[in-house]
Formats: sequence, C-alpha cells, structure tokens
Amino acid sequence: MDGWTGKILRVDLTRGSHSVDDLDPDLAKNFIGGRGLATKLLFDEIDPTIDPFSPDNKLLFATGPLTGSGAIGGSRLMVVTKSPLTGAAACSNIGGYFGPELKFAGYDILILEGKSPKPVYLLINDGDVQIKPAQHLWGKTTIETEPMIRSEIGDAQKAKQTQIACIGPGGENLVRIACVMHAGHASGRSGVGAVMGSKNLKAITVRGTQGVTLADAEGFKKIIANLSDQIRKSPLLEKRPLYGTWTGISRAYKFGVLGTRNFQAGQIEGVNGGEKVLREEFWVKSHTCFNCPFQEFSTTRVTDPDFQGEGEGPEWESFGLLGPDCGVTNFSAIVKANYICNEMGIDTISAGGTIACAMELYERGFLKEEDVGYPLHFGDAKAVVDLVEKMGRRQGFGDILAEGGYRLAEKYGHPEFFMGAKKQEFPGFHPQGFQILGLGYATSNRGACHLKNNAYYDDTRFQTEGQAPIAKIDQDYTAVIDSSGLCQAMYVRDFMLWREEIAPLLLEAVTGAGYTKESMLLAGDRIWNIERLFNLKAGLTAQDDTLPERILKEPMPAGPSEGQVVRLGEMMPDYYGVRGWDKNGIPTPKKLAELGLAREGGR
Amino acid sequence: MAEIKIDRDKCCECYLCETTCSLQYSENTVNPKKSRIITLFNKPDVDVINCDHCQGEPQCVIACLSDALTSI
Repeated sequence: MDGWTGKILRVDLTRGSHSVDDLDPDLAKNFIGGRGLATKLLFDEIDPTIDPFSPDNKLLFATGPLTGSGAIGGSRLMVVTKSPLTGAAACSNIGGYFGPELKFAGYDILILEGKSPKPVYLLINDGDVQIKPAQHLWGKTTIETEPMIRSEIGDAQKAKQTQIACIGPGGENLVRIACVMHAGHASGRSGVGAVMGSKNLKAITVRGTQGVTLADAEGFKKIIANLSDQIRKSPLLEKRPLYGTWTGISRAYKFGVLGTRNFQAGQIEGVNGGEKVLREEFWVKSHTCFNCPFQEFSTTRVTDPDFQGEGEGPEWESFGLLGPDCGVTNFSAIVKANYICNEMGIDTISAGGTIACAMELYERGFLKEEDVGYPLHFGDAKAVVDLVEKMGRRQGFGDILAEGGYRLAEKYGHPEFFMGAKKQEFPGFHPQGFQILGLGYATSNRGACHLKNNAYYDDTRFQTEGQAPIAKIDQDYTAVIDSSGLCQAMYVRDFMLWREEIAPLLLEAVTGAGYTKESMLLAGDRIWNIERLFNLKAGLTAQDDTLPERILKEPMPAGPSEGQVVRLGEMMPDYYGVRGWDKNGIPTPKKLAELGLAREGGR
Repeated sequence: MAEIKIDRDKCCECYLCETTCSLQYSENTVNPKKSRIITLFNKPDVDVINCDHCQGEPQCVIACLSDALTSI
C-alpha cells in the first residue's frame, strides 16, 4: 500500500505479547486513518457499554496516510479509546514527532489491549517490540519521564531519534481528564491518559528507520511546491512564530466570547492584547512539529517568585480556562498552572473548567470551605496553581476535582453549574456569541470541543438560520483532517479559502486510492456517523446533544455579545435533517446505506 | 563539490529538508533516516556538509521555509 504502511501493531499488555496484523485496504480507504480508522476498529473490537477503565477497553495510537508522508503539516497522531470522562468515543490529537516516528517504524496503528500486572513501558524499534519494567518511572512527572527513558538508550544517536509519549501522575491516578504527553505536546482531551494509566502503561517509545511510499511522487512534489509558494507569501509564516495560538485571547475578547467566571460572562479586564504580554514577558523560544514551518508552540519562563518556572505554553485555550474562566488575570499564575498541568499530565482545558465550576459552587454556597481547605473565590490565582497539582495527584479536594466538572457539580447537587457538553468542559470561546459554536459544542461526538467545528464566521454569528449545513460540512471536513494525519491549525484554521481543495489532492497523490473532494467528504460523514453509532450503543441519546441551561436561557450580561443565548432549539431539527438522522438523532437506514454503514447500524 | 550550510538559530527542526531530500533519492519513498543531509541533525557540531547530489538545485534548501539552509 502507498501512504499507509498496511500494518497494525497489536500489543496485549495482560499477556505481554504482540502481533502484527495486515490493514484491510478497503477499510483504510473508507475510514482514511487516524481518528476515522481507529474509531471504526474500536467500534468493531469493544463493547461500547464497557467501563472505560476495564482491561477490555482498548487504546489506539493512530497515524493517517499523510502522517510522515512529507506533506507540510503531516505530523499528527490520534489517540482513540472509550473516554472515562464522557463515556463516548474519545479522539485526542497530538503533534510533535511521535506520529511520524510510529509510521517510520512500520505501523499505521498501535492497538493496546488488556492490562499489565505491573507498571511497564513499551519500546518499539522497527520490528523489535519489547515490554519493559517501569516501576522506577511510576510517580514521575511527564517532564521527568522522557529524559529518564532516553538515558536508558545506550546509543546517543538512537536516543535522539527516539520519540516518547508518556503519562504523568494524572494518568497513573486515573484522573478522568488525564492526557498523554510527548515533548511538551499533549493528546489533551477526554481522559485518554487515564485509560493508559488503567493499563499500567507509563510510556511508549518509538524509533523507525523505514519509509512511507507515495503513489504519485511527482504529482506530490508539485502540490507541495505550490503549497510552499503560498505559505511563503502568507503573513502567517511571520505571525505564527510570534504569537502562536495566543491571538485567540484578543479575538475572544473582541467578540465578547472569552469564557469568564465559569461562563457567566464573555469578557474580563486585564487580558485583552494578552498575546503581546505573553510574547514580551514570558516567551523564550518557538518550536514546531514534524514538517511544519509555522512554529506555533512556545517555551516560556516565569520570573515572578511566587510562580517561578519554565516550560511549554500555554496555548490560548489553556490560558482561557486556567485564567479568565477562573476569574484569574495574573499571567504568571496562569502560565505556572499550565506547567503543572503538563507535569501532572492533565488536560489544561478541563482542569481550568473544573476549578471554575468549583469556584462557582463555592460562591453560591454549595461547596464549603472545609470541603476545599480554604475559601475558593473567583480570581484566586494561588488556588488555581494549588488545585491543578492536587488534581493530578488526587490529594485532598483534588481527588474530587479529578473526576471532572460534571461529576463535581453533580456530587454537590447542582449539575447545572457544570459548563460543558457530554460531560466534557467547554474550551475557551463562549458559545453565546456564535450560534454555530453552540451547535458545534452540543453535537460534537467527543463532548464540548474546539476542534470539531471551526466555521464560525463573524458576520453571521447571531444567526441560527442556515448554520446547520455549515456546521455539518465543517464537522465532516475536520474529521477528514483528523484522520489523514494533517494538522487542523494549518488545514482548517489558517487557509480557509482553499482548504477543501488541497486535502483530496494530497490524499490522492500519497495513497492513489481514488480520493476526490466528494469521496473525501463522504468519508468524513462516514467517520462522524461511526462515532455517533458508537455513542448510541454506549448509551448516549439525543438528550445528550445539548448545552447547560445557563447557555440556553441566561442572556450574556454585557459586552459585544450582550443579550445573546444559544438558540439551540432553532438549529437542532435542521441539523438532524442535514445529517440524515431521525428526530431522535439516530441515523436513518437510508443514510447508513449511503455511507456503507448498514451493518454497523443494525441492532 | 557544493556545500550545504545550516543556520541553527533559524532552523526550527521541522525536517522538511530531510523528507524532501529522501523523496528525491529513495524511489517514491519518504524516509528521513535515508536522507543525505541527515548528518546535519545527527551531528549538532557539524554545520556544513558537502553535498551536490541535486546538481546545483538543492531541494532541501528550496524546501526549507525557515531559510535556515543555504547552498555555498
């Protein structure tokens, strides 16, 4: 096969054995790879009703055909499992260098099954696959773990070429918002790191020396030359290394959609223009992912003695949730809290959202000082820094926070103060200022998400009419990008005008499998629906396609989005309609037949 | 023999140069470990390598969007 390696590495952690399966070419073509192919395999191989922490759950690390293909932005890997946070299908994307290295080792997908009796790490060196003891690594932060493993590799050159993904105390302690980390990048959302921890798997190391073959190398070179030209002419090549995703702060402020104080407001003073503050006072250097020139990531340093440190980030969404959503505008504290989340290996977005929820419960009197150990008001920067570590280690009140915002709010009798969808916390943008964003959060298969619907246009932001078809296409297209191994930052956000034109050209040049724009988008639709079918079988229903009462009923109090609520009811029937789902949100037999999912839809 | 020089301050380690180079020389295959300029990354103290396999049109230099490579 071209583009795909055609091999799946399957590791049984219970028995300590492994095998290599052939990838079915038709399955690969229909589900592309990454998120799509891995979710299809998860659908086929596990009972969607199982406990996510059961050894029967599986954890898939999936590359796409464009991962490591030489395509600009072809760095991505998707981690897929049943989420312990949402109970739905999780897909959590990670950049850096791990995905391409797995591909170069000769595998499209790594499937982890069972549960090791003791802490272990997995070493993959092309065909050499070993399960190694990791007792000495257990309890270490993600920042400590990577160099410790690297130091165990004798050959310095091989050590440098080895890529490592690991969990921190968060994953070990089954924190439901734990992530998988690799070189400062995170497979952040939906608690995929906790599933890795439940399998007693501390880390995966990979090094590969094999190549990815291309179906039409000459055609591919022409596409890349054209893409390079466009990138060279784009102002983003200069701008992204300066501010990365931080421009989101000012954009959110400008439209009054900066999630503030547990989404009770859309603006807070003291953070507008925050990208400049981060650049001038915190930035140390920019870095990037495999085959990407944009250098969106930043290593930063905090000199404030209260919050001293050095590390990666924060990205804009992390900033939004650990900062404004908790009422915090102290940049040093926000950056420090982000470092600790990375060290613990917990999702910055959900961590901030969960603490914000606790702050509101406290201010409304539902959570007491004795529950937390101290008063927990909005704006308490030190509390945020304290609680993210306690969450990762499940210490004290952190043990309750570790369950995520939904379970926290429910425990104290007020689930209405949980701000998210399908039990996953909202990302940074407040949905009340963009109707389509509300629809996107409510219908995202993995719960509230910043990566499943990026089509929010400034001029139609208060309209509900006509939003459903736009959301649907965007969801299908992002599913394609997540499945190909391309990066959404480049292929979804930055080059909106030609984005749907270039992806099928790349897919076809690399795989030769017959992709066109139409067949690519149909594959995206198929991927969206296989996730939906998984979720329905897992017990989710149309009742879960919703938003908190606050978002639907309490108008935004002030700012550029003042007076807005999300009019979800005006969009949902249309959305189910364009999806080809019935009024209960169930894909119709006709739709399933069109997608080739009749068998999967049978019940 | 032409030389390829790397400016490490400009290099963002995206390895577009390696993937492009490998595709040029291993038939239809992208494999950074088979790249002819891999020395630049395996030996951090080596900033200049002899390489003229592209006969005056170094594909790695053209591919680099960070302007970190020059042909001298």
